[in-house]
Amino acid sequence: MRIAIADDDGTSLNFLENVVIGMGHICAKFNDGERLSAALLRDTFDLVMLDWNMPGKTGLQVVQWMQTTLEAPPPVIMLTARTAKRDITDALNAGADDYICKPEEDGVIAARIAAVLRRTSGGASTDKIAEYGGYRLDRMAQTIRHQGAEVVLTAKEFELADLLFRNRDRTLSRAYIMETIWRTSADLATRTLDMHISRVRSKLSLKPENGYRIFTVFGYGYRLETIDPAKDQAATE
Amino acid sequence: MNSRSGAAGLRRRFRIEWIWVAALASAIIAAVVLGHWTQPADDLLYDAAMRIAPAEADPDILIIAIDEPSLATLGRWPWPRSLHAALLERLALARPESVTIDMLLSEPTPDDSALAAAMLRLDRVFIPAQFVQPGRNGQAYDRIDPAPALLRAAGSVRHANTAIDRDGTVRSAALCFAQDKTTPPYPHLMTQERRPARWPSCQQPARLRFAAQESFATVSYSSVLRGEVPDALITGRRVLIGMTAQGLGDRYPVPVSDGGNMPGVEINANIANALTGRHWVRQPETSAALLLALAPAWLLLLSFWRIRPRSVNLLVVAMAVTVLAGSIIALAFNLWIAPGPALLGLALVYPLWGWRRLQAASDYMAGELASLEREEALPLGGAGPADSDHVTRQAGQLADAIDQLRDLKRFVGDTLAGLPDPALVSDMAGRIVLTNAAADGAFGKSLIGQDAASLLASITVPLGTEPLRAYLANPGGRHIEFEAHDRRHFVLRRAAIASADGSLRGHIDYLTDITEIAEARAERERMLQLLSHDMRAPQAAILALIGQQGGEIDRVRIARHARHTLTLADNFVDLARMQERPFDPEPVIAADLASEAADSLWPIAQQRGVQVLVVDDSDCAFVAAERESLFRACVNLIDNAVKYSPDLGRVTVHVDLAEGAVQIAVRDDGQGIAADILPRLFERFASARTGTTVKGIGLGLNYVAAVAARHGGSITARNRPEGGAEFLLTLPLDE
Repeated sequence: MRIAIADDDGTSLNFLENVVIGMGHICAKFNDGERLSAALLRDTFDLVMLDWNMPGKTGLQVVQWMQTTLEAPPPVIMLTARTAKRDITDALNAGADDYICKPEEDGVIAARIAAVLRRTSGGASTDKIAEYGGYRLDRMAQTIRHQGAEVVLTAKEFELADLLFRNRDRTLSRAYIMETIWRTSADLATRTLDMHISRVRSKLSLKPENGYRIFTVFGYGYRLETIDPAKDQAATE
Repeated sequence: MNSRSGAAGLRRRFRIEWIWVAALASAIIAAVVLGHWTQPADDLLYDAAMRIAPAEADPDILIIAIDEPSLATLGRWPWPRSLHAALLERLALARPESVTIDMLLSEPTPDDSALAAAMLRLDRVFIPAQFVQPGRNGQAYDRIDPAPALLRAAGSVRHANTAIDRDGTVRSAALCFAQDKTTPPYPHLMTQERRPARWPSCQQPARLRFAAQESFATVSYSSVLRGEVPDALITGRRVLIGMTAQGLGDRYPVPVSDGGNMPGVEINANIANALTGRHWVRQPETSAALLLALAPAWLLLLSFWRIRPRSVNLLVVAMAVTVLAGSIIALAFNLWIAPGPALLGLALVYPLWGWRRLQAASDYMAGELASLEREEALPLGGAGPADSDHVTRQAGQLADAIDQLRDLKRFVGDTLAGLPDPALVSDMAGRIVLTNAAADGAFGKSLIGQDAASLLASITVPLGTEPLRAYLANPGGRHIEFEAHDRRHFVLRRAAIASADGSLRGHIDYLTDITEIAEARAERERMLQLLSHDMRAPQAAILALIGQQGGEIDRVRIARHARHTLTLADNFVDLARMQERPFDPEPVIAADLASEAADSLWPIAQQRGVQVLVVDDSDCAFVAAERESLFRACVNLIDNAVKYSPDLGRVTVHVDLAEGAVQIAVRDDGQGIAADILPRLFERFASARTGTTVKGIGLGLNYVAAVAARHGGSITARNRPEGGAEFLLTLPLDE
């Protein structure tokens, strides 16, 4: 999972980062609300952890902005020293998914993060076998069968296909995909991603006839779209 | 300042100055002639000429001289008149032709009767009367006659007045003398019976040619009295008796070679010599003298208009020499033309004209320079060094002005040369005198001297020749557009070049190349065509479908028309946007792009059962692409192929590598492209392919061509031998 953390206090930021990494997730750190907002526009995150008091934009403002601006806002956990009941209700009403009052133990924070992620990403990731239309994914064997025939994929290709299928109809930023699959934030592999997308597309024949198409969102990333023939008929006629 | 009217002004000024010089010179010459101002100088020349050619002495003239030996022999003067009587008696024996006693015998003496008797015996004896000036009782002269007895013997009164010139020299003789206007004139002593030919002209002193000093036969008075002279020497001769001894009687300077003074008796002998031998020197009448004096001056004045100043110098010298030589030659023929006035005229006219002409030229130059500085804003620099004279300073200014005009000319030339469009400058006759580099480039070299109108007509398409010629004949501030043979379009403007006084000097033909504007105009026409027809037609169709009576509304057809319009609008906007945006490529996998393009068209293709097959033989080759525009280009190509495919047809998108480039071949199995459309397929707004039920518009393909060009690639179209069309989009590989 890819988690964005925004806090103006360095110590607190590092503490949270350690917690997230310790859970096996990827972490992106931000010092203020403005930078976080900019990143949210061109990148994909599975969770956003927000400090209330930040320069630029406060945590509450960022939450409100996310709800009105982003197409599919990721879940938000507010982290703050404020303990007033009023503040908690304001944050939750604005769209935050959970509220943690600082200071809090790392174990509690980790449990809260796991709970939010479990709620929002549907928990399907752990299934051994998953079926999407004519495609059957075996996560243990890392194989995909299409219409019963096995498609030979490399490990990375399988991971990419798995990521796309799990997040179908969700736009994933290039950085999100690369960090999730290749565990790197450096964008040296921009061509690599393109080529893997291209191979996955052709090997799996991801095209409208088979109910799926990979759609390139220019300047952002990719989206695996499910084609609903009935819906399409209506849209095009 | 208008230089031509300035030149006319200068000419007028010169004419006026010339008239002034001519009038002034003529007046001065006339005054000189009438007032004899140059006579002293003329007389010097005259005397010199006279000394060269003296007259011959008449041998019939004999002078009986009362000389020093006579005085020594006969005693001191005055002698008793009886002595003269004795001499006459002696002469009577020898019978001379005539005897003239050149002495005043006024007071009566006792010897008068004897002398009178002797005179009567000789018969032809002449004695002079004396005229004293001024006379008594207010008269001009008093006449003092000889003694009455002698006057009776002589018979008539004669004068012996000597005509002395102002310089005291005797050059002429007055052949008669009038005491006053009422009385008839008295003849000169020497005219004897020969009456003067004309009266009163005889009163004027007539110049005569003198014989050399002492060239007449002379005998001493005492010798004759003593009978020492033979009769033969006296017989038949004209005898003059007078005083030659020094200090006795009158003596005058005369123009003869050995100079000195000549005794009065010898002068009278010369007068007699002139009368018989016609040794008179005539002088022209006043009017003729005026004419002769004015002629050289006027000749010179007239020559000023014809001859260059340097030649005038020579002419003046030549004319002076001619005048002098003419005077001397005329004198050889006994005609005296005083050269003084003519020479003075020449000497006067030349510097006078030179002065006035310089003044006029200087004034003109000053005026022109001042106006040039004032009107043309040419700073003429300083007035030159202070120690130089006015004309030198003006010349300096003129030099500055000329320099600046040169600069101006160069400036004009450079300006013309620098004009981006062809310009032709032609003269009054229509011949080209000046061009610029653009004109040379457009119409070829060596344009100078060609006829501008013919040249322009020759480059025009035949249809435009007549209107062009009509325009050139009467431009009238308008302009004309025409098309050249090479399909370029020009706007021609003809401007008249007028001089400052408004007269026509020539024309400037300025051509502006409006080929691009003309093309843009044509494209706008096509765009209007698109908007007015291609975009309106689907809307009209939709309205018609909606308005259909009864039955169900045909949603499919309405959607198709709407989508068609939408595509057209998208292409139109994208094309316009793309032309303004800088090219900023990124690496894109060609096959992936083609696949997505095909995916996006799946709903349409699926409707008609058309299968779109993407075949990738490029192994994930990257091209440097502008993703959006290239995607749209692929969509257009595939869309086109789907559109022209039959239902249940197949469209193949084949991505392949060829010679360092990626080729995207889009093939359909439709009816192909009509041959007449094929060459113009990628032009903007090319019309639809034929033979199909679907109406297509060329904007999509034009967009593809623009994208291909933008990516440094190409697009071609052909009909496949096995049927159907193939579009081949070639793009360079991304390195």
